[in-house]
Amino acid sequence: MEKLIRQSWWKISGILVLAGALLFAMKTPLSPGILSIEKVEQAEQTLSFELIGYNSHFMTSNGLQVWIQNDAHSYCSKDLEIIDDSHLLIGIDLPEILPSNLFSVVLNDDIDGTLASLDGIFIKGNVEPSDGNGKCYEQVKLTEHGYFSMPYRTILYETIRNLNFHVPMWFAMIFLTLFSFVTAILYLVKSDPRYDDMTVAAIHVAMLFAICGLSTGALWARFTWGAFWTDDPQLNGAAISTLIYLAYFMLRRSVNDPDKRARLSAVYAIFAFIMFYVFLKVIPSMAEFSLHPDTTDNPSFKDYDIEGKLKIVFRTATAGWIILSFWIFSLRYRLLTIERKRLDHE
Amino acid sequence: MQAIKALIQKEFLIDYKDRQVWMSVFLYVLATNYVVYQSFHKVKDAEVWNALLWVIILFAAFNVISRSYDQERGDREIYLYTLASPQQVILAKMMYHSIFMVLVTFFSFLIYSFFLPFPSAIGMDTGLYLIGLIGGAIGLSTTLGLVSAIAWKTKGGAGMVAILGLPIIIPMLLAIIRYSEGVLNGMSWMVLDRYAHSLLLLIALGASLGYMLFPYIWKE
Repeated sequence: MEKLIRQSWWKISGILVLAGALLFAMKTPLSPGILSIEKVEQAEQTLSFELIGYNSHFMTSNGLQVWIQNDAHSYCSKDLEIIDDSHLLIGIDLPEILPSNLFSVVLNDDIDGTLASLDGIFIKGNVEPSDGNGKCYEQVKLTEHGYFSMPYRTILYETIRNLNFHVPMWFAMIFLTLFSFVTAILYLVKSDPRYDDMTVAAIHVAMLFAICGLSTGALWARFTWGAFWTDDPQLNGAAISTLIYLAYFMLRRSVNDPDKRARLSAVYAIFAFIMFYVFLKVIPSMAEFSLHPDTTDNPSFKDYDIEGKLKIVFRTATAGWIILSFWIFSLRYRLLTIERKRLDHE
Repeated sequence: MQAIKALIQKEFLIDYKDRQVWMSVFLYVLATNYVVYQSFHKVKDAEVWNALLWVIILFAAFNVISRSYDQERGDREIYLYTLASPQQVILAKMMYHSIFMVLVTFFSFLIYSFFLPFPSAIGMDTGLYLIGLIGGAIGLSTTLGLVSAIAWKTKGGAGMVAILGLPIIIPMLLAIIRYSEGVLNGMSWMVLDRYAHSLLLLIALGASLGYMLFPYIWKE
């Protein structure tokens, strides 16, 4: 341990891994997608609208096809005017009687692959359910775009990159609190003040990462959910853990004798850690709903990430953040060791 | 077991001789309930009614448990070392305070429903609500037991119990509030058992961690 924190190979590789992952996470373009359907106009049997794409390549791509679809019914574009890479003007002939009012808009070209705006358009008219009319194009292709990218999701858009900051920061925080839990037990067993220094240093840095995790989370929540703070089991957990460890520092300040301070705070750290992590396990199953992915019945990021591209970047970033947090911890710990030596000397 | 029984008796006798703790809790419950009544007059919503009751009980628990080591200062503390093991002391304290808190909780419940009537709904099981009160009282006193022992050894005093205890007590409070809210809304045991289980789990953890960690606080 003492030897490890003086070596530099893991610090250098950790920083390289983190920088690589973050560069990748920030530089990789988002997948193309349909941003919105606008200027929907309907006259007699014709429908016209403007399609706005995101990161799409309408100008340079070949074989552009646009159609609207409802189950087995699809109607293809009659007029297709490309304005620029992300704007299309589309005209479609409609039948007299529609199978439904709600249609998805689907687009396919050789660069962007297949893009869809599910239930993206509402068409007025008489409705009568019927069997499908088959496919309107001779060959309708459903393809993936051909280059590496981040998944495109409505609501999330570009903020999906925050996945590589916000979530690993909490992982680093959990890693450090777990570490402090182990060192607190070691302190009680061995009564070696070095373990007390480690506990304090780990909790200090864990608090730093909790603040980072809270602020990145708050910004993300503002963009996607509309508010900085919401009533959510995860946020509850974050607030409670922050309060617990602030109380830990408060406790340390209220005891003068160093041995007693170390012992009492180690007891509190162990107690609080266990109560808190049981809470984290118990409460999400108790909650009726959560906005966070992968809790209650929400879809997780795994579902967006069909080919596992996101996972590789995310795991690398997580490893990088954890190594970085451990490095900061080791600096903090060495500082405390120096202070202790100076005190002993005096 | 004999020693624990003797220690519980000792706690009771000390509190009985010097009725200051009893009086202060009694007054606290009366005064808070009256303040709540004056500020709300009427609580129509069962959830608000329930949450208010638990907030009153929570602070009553802080009131009771932050005093649990008051008489253990100075000579008495040293005398206690010669009489019993730390495990016996913490278990006796937790048991005594559990019994005491159950009484305080029922007392608060009575006074509270005297001022603000109990929102009984059709199909509601009052027995389950009373079980919830007992569980909550025991939960509060076991979880706060260790925290008040830590605070006892600091110079922070009673304020320290609140600072250290509030974040730790939130999970338990959430479990118990959800449970009793469910009872008031007429939910059956099938729905409520997960809250009851998490409450039991937290009580068991609080008591066993207290049992394991108290010896490290005890020794000077």
